[in-house]
Amino acid sequence: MIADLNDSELKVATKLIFDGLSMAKSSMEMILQSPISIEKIDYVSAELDMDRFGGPDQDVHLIKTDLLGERKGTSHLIFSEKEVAKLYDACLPEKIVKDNSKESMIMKLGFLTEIDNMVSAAVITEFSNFLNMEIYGNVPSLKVMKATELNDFIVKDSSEFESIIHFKAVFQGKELDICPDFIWVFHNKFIDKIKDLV
Amino acid sequence: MIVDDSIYMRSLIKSAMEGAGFEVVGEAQNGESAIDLAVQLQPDLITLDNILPDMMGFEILKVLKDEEVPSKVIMVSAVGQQTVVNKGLSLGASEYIVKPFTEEDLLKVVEKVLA
Repeated sequence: MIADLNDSELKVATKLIFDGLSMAKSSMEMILQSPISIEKIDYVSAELDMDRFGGPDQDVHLIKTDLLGERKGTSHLIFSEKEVAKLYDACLPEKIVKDNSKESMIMKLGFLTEIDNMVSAAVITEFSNFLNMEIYGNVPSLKVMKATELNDFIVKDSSEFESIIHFKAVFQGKELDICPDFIWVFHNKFIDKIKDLV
Repeated sequence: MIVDDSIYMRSLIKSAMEGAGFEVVGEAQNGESAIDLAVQLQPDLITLDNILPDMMGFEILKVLKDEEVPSKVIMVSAVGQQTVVNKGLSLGASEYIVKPFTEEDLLKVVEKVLA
């Protein structure tokens, strides 16, 4: 757990996480062509605020990237149904947004996974450079589920790690009116690497 | 030729390339079809993603070298750590572009590589 770190180790860990998220924020701004801020970073609870999804029966889009390489971990980038529609309107050609053919649907979902690919990779690059580790993000996968299923999914998805550290960031794009959640879960061995560096 | 598992990214690169007057002769979404297509088409230029569902771009670079495919390769990947970029260049890629990128960034590199 991140709480196991002493003060100087915690300072390094939080700076690393903040730097990684700052890179992710910049990537997201570039993809979406709109300003994004880091609204909140939570190191304690990965539980999601259900209110923001507009009700328990609303669909949410979760894009997951697993780490490959020297350390295990996974990231989840989560958009509400309304946010997904706003992203499509802002970033994709109108003919694709309004078309419900199979090809256009594949393109829309491909756009979402590519956002996650770049945003996750920005964090991974920062961690890899700083910790001097070979880690990569695998090809992202998208899952659409009901908002009520989300917290259980993340808990279950994290359970494959023997012991975990996690953090949750809330991004905010005021122009686009979006605030996606970005949750990272790592194997505790990441902590050993940070301890080695301090 | 464009190699990327993401249809969105292939579409973005294709649009940029065709808009600048290049002809995209082939597209592949995984490593195996990328190798088959590259050997068959021998395009002037390949944009190559590094993380594909069945193999890494690095492995494709090695096969292209073994098969003596003369195409220039630009790696286009979200994986941006310097060690990875250097590895791609040492394995034969002419340039390495880190996603996200602008159309202008891409075309500048393409023109440099094809010059």
